[in-house]
Amino acid sequence: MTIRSFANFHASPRHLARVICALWLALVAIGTPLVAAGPQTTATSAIAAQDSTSDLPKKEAKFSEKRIYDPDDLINEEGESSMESDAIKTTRAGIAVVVYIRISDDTPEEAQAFATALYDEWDVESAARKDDGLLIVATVPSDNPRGGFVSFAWGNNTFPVNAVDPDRLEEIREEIIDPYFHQGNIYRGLYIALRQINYDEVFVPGDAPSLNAFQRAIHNILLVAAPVLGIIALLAIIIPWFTKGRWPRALAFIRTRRRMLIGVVTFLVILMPLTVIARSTISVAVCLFVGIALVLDLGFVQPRMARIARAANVRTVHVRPRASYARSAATRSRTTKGQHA
Amino acid sequence: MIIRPPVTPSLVRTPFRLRNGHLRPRSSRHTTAPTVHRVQLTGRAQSRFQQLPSDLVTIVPQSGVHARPGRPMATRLKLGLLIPLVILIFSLVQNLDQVQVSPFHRDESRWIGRAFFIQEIFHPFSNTWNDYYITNNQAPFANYIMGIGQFVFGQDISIGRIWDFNYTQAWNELVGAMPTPSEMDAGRRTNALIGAIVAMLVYMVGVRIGNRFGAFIGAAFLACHPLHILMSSQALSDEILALWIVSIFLAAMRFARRPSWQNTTVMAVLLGIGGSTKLTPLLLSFALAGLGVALLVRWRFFPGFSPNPKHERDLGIKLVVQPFIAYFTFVAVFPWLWVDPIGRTYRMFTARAQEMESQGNIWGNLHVATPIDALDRIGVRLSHDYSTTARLGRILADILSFNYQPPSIDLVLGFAGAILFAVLVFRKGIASQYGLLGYLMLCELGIIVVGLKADFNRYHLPIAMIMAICIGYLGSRVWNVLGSMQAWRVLDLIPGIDFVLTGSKAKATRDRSFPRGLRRPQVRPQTPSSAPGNVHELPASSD
Repeated sequence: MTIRSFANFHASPRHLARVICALWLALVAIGTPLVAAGPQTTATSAIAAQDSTSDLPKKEAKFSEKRIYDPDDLINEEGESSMESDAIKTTRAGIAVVVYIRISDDTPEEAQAFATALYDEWDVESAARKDDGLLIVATVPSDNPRGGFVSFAWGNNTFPVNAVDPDRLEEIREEIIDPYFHQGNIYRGLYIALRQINYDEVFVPGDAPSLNAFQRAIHNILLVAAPVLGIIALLAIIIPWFTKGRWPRALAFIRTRRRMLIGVVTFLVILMPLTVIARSTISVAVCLFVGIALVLDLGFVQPRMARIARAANVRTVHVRPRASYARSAATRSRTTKGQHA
Repeated sequence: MIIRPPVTPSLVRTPFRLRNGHLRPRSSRHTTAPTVHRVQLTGRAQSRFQQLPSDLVTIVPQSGVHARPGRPMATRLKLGLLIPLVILIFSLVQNLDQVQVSPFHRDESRWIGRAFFIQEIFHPFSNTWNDYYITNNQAPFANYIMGIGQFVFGQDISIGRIWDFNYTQAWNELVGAMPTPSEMDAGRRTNALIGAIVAMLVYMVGVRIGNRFGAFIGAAFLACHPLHILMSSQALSDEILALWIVSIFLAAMRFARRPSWQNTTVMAVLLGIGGSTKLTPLLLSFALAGLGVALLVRWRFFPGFSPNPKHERDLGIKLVVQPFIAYFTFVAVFPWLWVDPIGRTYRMFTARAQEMESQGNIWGNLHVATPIDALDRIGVRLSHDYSTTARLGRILADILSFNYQPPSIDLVLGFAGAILFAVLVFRKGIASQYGLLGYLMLCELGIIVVGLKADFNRYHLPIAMIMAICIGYLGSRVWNVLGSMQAWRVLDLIPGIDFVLTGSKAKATRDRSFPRGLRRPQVRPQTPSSAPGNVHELPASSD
């Protein structure tokens, strides 16, 4: 029957309807497995799901010239101009934004699909292949001006820009756009949302990138090593303050003050970059305290001790290191033994 | 050993301390008493040292200072403390008077809004210090001060919102960028106090280059300056910058007197902190390093031109290290810089330069094209727009009910003072405290003149401060000239008043000739029987 209908489709409307139905069924039969096997990106699924994309609006001008599209004239000229300026500022700050305002009876899901398809079709981005744009589609039902809503579509490289990310967009939708749209004030909702996006991307910090494995390892090491070494360094600096200028026996293993200073400075020089790399707050505290102690020691305590020593006419006598004493003692003992022998 | 008044014996830094009228060693290491050659004592110290053996101590009473053994030192009013305190209170009262009156400036929102930096400094790796507009556009130290002020005045230092200059006040109020009245009040009161401290420090600079009278005049000039009062009654950062600049002046003078490593460190740290407030003091550190190199070159290759080669060598070496310590401080107090200190510093300087350029372009009437234009603008600002003498003249005219608009002579006085100060610098040399102060003032002035691209009133505040110092020096010279002319004796013509000169210069003053045409009054020695109401003791004028 169907073959006969194919042959005689022009004979009657019934034959024509049969042919069309058969073609549809064939298309569905072939297309369904292909769609199921293909990648499920938002854009492709939206295009596949919606036949509304077939009549997508055309871009009227370059984005550098026009970023606000209002084909149904829901916003007056002045409002459009103001929003245009805000959109340009937002784009300069890092998010290439385009706003499309329309009257449509689409459901939110259909409007989302429309927004996604339009984003792909128009290539909303700051430069070719950057994929860093944001499309805001405002949909106002024809029968209910207070039932409007917005849909967002963005690229893979759009977020985050400081504090602006998908979660923040959702907050802006709930806190700013929806209340104004429910009042029927489309313009105010959109323009405040645009400014808020602009404000957040300029003035509100985002999350810092998390530590990688190397940084995490150093961070964990510093958590223990920095305080321990810092306390040792502090003691090495501070103890001589209370020993009347004499090098204390407790620090005899460092031998001299000069070696101690070289050690402490080296410790600080190594610790400071590690602190920044590993973002260790406790190491910052250690650097701070040891640094202050070092400055106090070099700048104030030691000169004061030297002044006191000068005033008391005390001479600084350089003695040979202990190793020399040991050597000379050994030589002496050998000589003594030889004499005995 | 020389003990200079007014230190008390307990504060004398020697290994010996005065105990029961005898010098005792502080520790067991110093067992013998030192040889004391000459001791200058006054007041309570004199009475305490009376018991020392005469062969050990020779008591030389300081001329011009009257010892009052029976009176404790703490209760004595000391002019050295009293006058700065008077200046502080005088300036504070004027500033606080305008706190509620001064118009709102949008920048106030920025300084108050970032007051939470003081909290975040304890979390140097938090999101606050990420790379974004708030951190990469302004150095944070003024925000720290503002945060401390907010905390002291009981405000909540939470994350504030910053004024967006792209939009109107209505929008910024909507987004929460407008500070609340209480926050604004706290920020302004903080600045009022800082402005008063600046006036007090200007007095201290004035005392070091002149005398108390001149220093008082200079500080009072600044305290009454309309621009200073305006900046001190708004929550902006410019008074904080002025605070660091005048502190740098003081530290530089101390450093020039004694170029020790302590003084080097103090001055460099102040330069770094000042740079962390408004960047320009960092440039001052480079200027100082340049001077250091010049001094070292003179010491090494032209020692004949150097009056004190060793001093200049010390000064030169320690001036050369200034930028390093200052930059280290600058980076240390600003966690945003830690990740890339040099690159981000460069970005910040370029961003500030661009912003100033764009400010000049946005406000066309404020655009400053060349340094000559900048000088012209400074002249207009500090003589026509903001003038102490015009303000005081207006007040006087109002009191006397004259309908008179007095002219401004601020710049004339400032120039006169600057010329006299230049003569002083020429006489004492660049390596003296006067020379270093003059060099720093000149550099600060030069940085402002060259860098000024938008003629905002706040950029002129350091110049007003420098002008106050110069006027203070002029006042000092005038006071000295009047003193040498014995001009005070003119007042002897008033019946019932006799002036008795006391102090180190009394004899010298008596020996000099009396102004022509006036009768020389008979100077009577001060006796206990003299009626206190009729005898006025003049302070000994200092050089």
